[in-house]
Formats: sequence, C-alpha cells, structure tokens
Amino acid sequence: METDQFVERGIAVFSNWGMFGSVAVGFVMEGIQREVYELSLIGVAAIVIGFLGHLVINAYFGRSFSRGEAGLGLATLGSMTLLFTVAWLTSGLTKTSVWTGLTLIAALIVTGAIFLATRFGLKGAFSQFHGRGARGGPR
Amino acid sequence: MNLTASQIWLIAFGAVYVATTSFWARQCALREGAARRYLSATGELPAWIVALALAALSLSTWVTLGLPDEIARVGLPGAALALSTIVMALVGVLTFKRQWQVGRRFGARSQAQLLAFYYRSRGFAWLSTGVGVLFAVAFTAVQLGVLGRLMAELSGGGIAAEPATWLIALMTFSYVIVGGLYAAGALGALQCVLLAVGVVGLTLAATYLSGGFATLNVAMNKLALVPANAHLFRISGVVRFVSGADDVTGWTSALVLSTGFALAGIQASPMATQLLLAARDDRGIAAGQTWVLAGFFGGLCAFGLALIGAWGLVATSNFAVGDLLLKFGGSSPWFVAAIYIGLVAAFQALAATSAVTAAHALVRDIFVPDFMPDLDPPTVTLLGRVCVGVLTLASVLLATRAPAAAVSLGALALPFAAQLFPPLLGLCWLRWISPPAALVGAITGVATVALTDNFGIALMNFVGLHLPWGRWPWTIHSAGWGLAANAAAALVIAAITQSRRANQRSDVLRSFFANVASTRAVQRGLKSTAWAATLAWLFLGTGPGLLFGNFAFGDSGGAFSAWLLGVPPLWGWCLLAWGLGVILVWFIAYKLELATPSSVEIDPAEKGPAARLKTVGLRIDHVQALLWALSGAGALITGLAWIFGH
Repeated sequence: METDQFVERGIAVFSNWGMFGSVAVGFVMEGIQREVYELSLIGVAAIVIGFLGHLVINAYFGRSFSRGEAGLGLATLGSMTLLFTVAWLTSGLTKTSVWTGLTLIAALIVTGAIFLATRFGLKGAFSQFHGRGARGGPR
Repeated sequence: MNLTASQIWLIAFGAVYVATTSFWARQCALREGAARRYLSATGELPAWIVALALAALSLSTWVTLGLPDEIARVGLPGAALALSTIVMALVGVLTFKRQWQVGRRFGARSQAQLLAFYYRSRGFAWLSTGVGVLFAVAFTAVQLGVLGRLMAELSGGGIAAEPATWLIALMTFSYVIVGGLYAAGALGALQCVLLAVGVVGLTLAATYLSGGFATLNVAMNKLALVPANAHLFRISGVVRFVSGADDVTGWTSALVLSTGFALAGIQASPMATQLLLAARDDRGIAAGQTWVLAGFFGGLCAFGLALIGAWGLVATSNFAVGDLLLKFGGSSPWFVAAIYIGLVAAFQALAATSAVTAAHALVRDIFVPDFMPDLDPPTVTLLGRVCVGVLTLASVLLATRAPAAAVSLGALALPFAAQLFPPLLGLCWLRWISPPAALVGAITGVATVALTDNFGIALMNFVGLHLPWGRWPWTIHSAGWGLAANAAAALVIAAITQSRRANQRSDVLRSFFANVASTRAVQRGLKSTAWAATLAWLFLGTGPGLLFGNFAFGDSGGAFSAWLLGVPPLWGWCLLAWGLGVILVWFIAYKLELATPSSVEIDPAEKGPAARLKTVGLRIDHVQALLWALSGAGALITGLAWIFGH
C-alpha cells in the first residue's frame, strides 16, 4: 500500500505540474519572446499556483516534499539563477528578460521561504533538508 | 545535421514526456503483486484517477482532432456533436455505478466477464473481446496515422510520417508493456490534464489568430451572408431520404443524433468497463461524469473545439488543428511541441487502455476459460504481455501499410461498442431482456452497423452483392441504424423468450441491487421528471429540436446585428443545450442518486465470473471448433467472391 500511495501522490503531483508547469513555461517564453512583461508575470503566477497546488496535494496525502522533489526544486532554482546571472553579465539581455528572470527567482525564493517559515518555523526550516526518506517523510 | 527550433522542442518535450511515462510505469510495476495483476487492476485505482482517465478515454484524439475538422468541413452543425459529451455522461450515470457494484460483488474483472456472468452466455465474452480488439488495432491505428502525419508536418519533414508513427507506437508500448492496466489508468489521469491544457492552448491560439472572438464571429457572419453557405450555419432538416449521407451537403438532426450515439459508444466499450472496475470505490462516478466529462470537457468541446473549428471554417482549412499548429510553428515552436505532446497523451490514454483491455479479453476471457482453464498465472501474464505487443504491432502496421483499411475498420469501433449499451442496460436495469434477446440484438446491431458503413458495403461489393444504399443511408449514422435494429430484435426476441429469463441472473441481481440501493421516496418521485427532462433534452439538444437553433437566437443568414448572442445562432443553441445538459446529468447523477456512492459496504461473493473451471490441459475440441468456424467463414467469403465478385 506504501507503493500505491507513492504512485497516486506522484501522479497527482505530475498532473499538477503538467497543468501549471506547461502554462508557466508557455507564458514566460511568450513574454520574453514578444517583450511583454505582463505575459511573463502570468507565467510566474502559474508557477506559484503550481507550488501551492503541490502543497495541497502534500496535505491531502499527509506527506511532505520527498528528498528527490526538494533536490530537483533546489537544483532547478540554482541552475536557473546561475544561467540567468551568467547570461545577464555576459550578453545583453532585453529589459523584459531581465525583469522576468528577477521576478521568477524572487517569487520562487520568497514562496519557498514563506512555506518553510510557516511550516517549520524560522529555526527548524534548515533542518528539513536532511534526514528524510527518499519517498517523502510523514508530516 | 542542423535541427530546426520545432524539431528541438519536439525532441525536448517528447523526451521529458517519455521519461515521465517510463518512470511511473516502472513504479507501477514495482507494486506488490503487480506482475500477477498486470492485465487487470480490479479495485486498485483511486476514484479520482479513474474519473480523469475515463474522461481522457472518452475524448482521446478522435474527438480532439475530429470535432474541429468536422466543423471546418460541414460548418456549425458539426458543433452540435460537442453535445455528445452529454450523451456520453448520460450513458455513464445510467450504467457505471451498477456495473461497478456487480463487478465488486461478483469479482468481475472485465466487461466480457460481467456480461457472460449475468446472461450465462459465452457469446458476450466473444462479442466484447471482438469490440475490444477492434479498438486496440483499428481505432488506435487511425489516430496513430494522423499523429504520425502531424509530427512529420510539424517537424518540417525532419522525420517522415511512417517513422513518426512507429515512434509514437513505441512510446505507448514502452510503458504499457511495463506497467499494465494500473499504469494505463494512473497515467490516464496525467494524460487527461495534458489533454485539457492542450485544448485550452489551442482555443487561445485560434482566438489569437482570428484577431479576437468578436472578429471571428464577424468573419463567420460574412460567410453566412453568402446564400450558398447557408448549410454551414443551419441544420438541413430532420432527415433526408437519400441513399447515403455523402450524397447531400449539410447535416440533418438525425445525423447529429445518431453520430452522438456513436461517440457515446465509448462509454459502453470494454475499455470503459475495465477502467471502471479498476476503481477502488464508486465515489468518483458522479463527479467524473457530471463535472469532469459533461461539465469541463463538454464545455471545452462546445466552446473551445467549436471555436477552433470555426477558425478552420473561416480559414477554409481541411485540418483545423494541424493548420493552426503550423501557423505557430515559426513564432512559437515550444507551443507547437507542447500541444503536440498533449495530443499524443490524449491518444495514449485510449491506446494504452485499449491494448491492455484487449489483451485481457483475449487471454483471460477467451483463451483461459475456453481453451486452457488450468493455465498458471505467470503464463497468463506473459501471454497478456505478448498480446499487448502483437496488438500494438498490428495497429502500427495497419496505420502505416493499410491506412484506408484502418479508416474503414476504425470507423466501426464506436458504433460497434454502442451495440453493447442495450445488454449493459439489461444488466443494470431492464430485467426483461433475456439472454437470447440481448445477444441476438447486439449481433443484429453489429451486422447492421457493418452493412450501413463503408466497410460492410465494400465487403458486400467484394463478394458480388451490391447494396442499394451508401454510407449512412437517410443521413442516419450506422450507429443509429445498428441501435434501431438492436432494439427491435431485442424487443421481439425478449417477447417470445420470456421463459428463457430463468437463464440469466436477474433474481440474484435484483435482490443485490435492492440491498445496496439507498433511493429514498423523495427520489422516486423525481424519476418521471428526470426521464421527461432527458427525452426533452435529447429532442432539443441533439434531436429534431436542433432545428430551433437555426432561428431561436437570430437569423443565421442575416447580418451580424441579427445574431442576438453575437455568435452564429446554432452555436448559441448548442452552448445553451450544453449548459442544460450539465444540469440534467447532475440531476440524474446526484438527485436521483444513480451515480452517487452507495452507503452499503459490498462484500465479494464466493463464486463469481472469475472463478476457474475445473478442466485440465488444452481443450482440443474447442480449438478444432474454432478452426473449423474460421475456415468455414473464409471458404464462404472466398467462394462468394469467386462466383459473384469481380
């Protein structure tokens, strides 16, 4: 039954990100390509909503983020920040691209920080990055 | 080799998608006892997953690509086909709950087992299996071919249509062979979400390309002002007494209604039952049919897909979705790739479930009970996997080597499945349908469908018998002819075989349903209202009442100011009918409690349809009988073709 729960939660998480993730990627890409910051903002909002949806799924299944999910999220954020910084410093990004990148990174960091702070408290937030099972520990 | 942006995005999204399906298929296969339950996941999937998977199965790429094309080709009468989602949901709320309850009680794992158990007739196992195989091979082959050609176009010729078709088949096979029905169902939920996002994206794209919703309607109005285009914006009467629907321009209400019945056939198909029986409980039936299928996807079809079709109509496109995607190929290749993957996901929701259902039917419902009852479970699973492979191979070969035959055969799948609706009604509600009535009715329906569609007409021509009618005589779809013949045969035979009713398990089911039913007196009082409302909706929404749509919201051939809702009057009528249809489905599902979960716990019976027969070894006599029957049929067709054919 543990595996069944894992599969069900995983499908729910992938469905959530399949919906909001594709909307987010779409609007961010279109915003950058068409130089329309408002379009990019919709994409950023979709990512935040997707994150909130992930939290709702976690609450429904009584689990927290798995180690893989946390690692993937942090790695994506880290590489995105790195790529954005390098691109900003080495090439001439357009104004919309810069603002989109900054908004996206800020939104992700703020959302993640608020989640950790409200869920575990400021002190306990950092201890969540270790000592949990690969399939997500109980809440 | 330089890759274009479209090719890069297609490869990128495709790789992510394949990685996702492969990962979850493996996780599904790692479950305890997964190998043993490869072919059926009875009672294992959560209700919400089954609700979404059923919705994706019902629409698939058949509706997603077909509906806009139909509207682009025949005009707004095609938009009325979007209302078939309501007909699908009506079939679902009428039969799903009781099918699930009987399956849970008596341990049925498939539609073949369910019907064969209730009617005590092996004929249903063969019939259901035949329909399942037709879906797994021909119906999927048609969609496979279309998606292959679309990939070739979107990649700018970077990949040819045939390798693209093989690639999509391989993508499907790679996860079905690992995860079985559990993976097909679980991933069906994800595919449903991707399908929904894809349709919404396509709708936004069509609106953008049209210059806005109002501009699209103004453009349609310009078309409508030309008298020669009147048939594109009006229903052309109730019925036309012509030899075939292809002989006339414009759709009649009879064609809309009967095509709606055909599309609703997916809900009576073996795949729908298989997924339904995989549900852990019956909590998702009412919500799935009312809000997901009729509400959300019905709205997407009635508004979104109709809008895409309207764009195709204005742009005189022969392939609305494909042309729409091609127009975005240069500016937004990521968008095109994402939508394409959504379409592939919609296809896989159907193809994966069809392949496993057909494999289950061939192995567990036919080979094991009729030919080798003592086969051990690991061999059954192995045979099932082999069947999945063979069926996928047959489908892809049909799609690539005989596309015309695939279209001809694939067109039969839905109308054939619709012929299983009366036997299912007999199981769930109509105890007076005796086993001979149900079986002969269904076979008569199947034969009538074949004879009023391209395949049967071509077959008859081959053996030298030239039928005096064409495809869909009197502008009635073959499903309509089949259901009429089915019902007539069932009524007559039921009347003369009432003594044979003892053969079926009607008393067993009657007492079982009485125990689990929770219908209160107040609900009983609503029954007559509900059935009257259903008939009224069928009449006004998809039946002859569609003619009111020609003028109820303005003059369809008049100036834009004469269109009271700012859209073609017929489209406005369809949107209204969709809204009323959702209320109707909700009323039947929730207020009449025909699809709400039962409060009574259902305990499995000791002996059910899955119980083994006590026979050892291969049934040589049955194998001989099968070979003789096949040889006889082959010899008859060959002989007729040799004597009378040309």
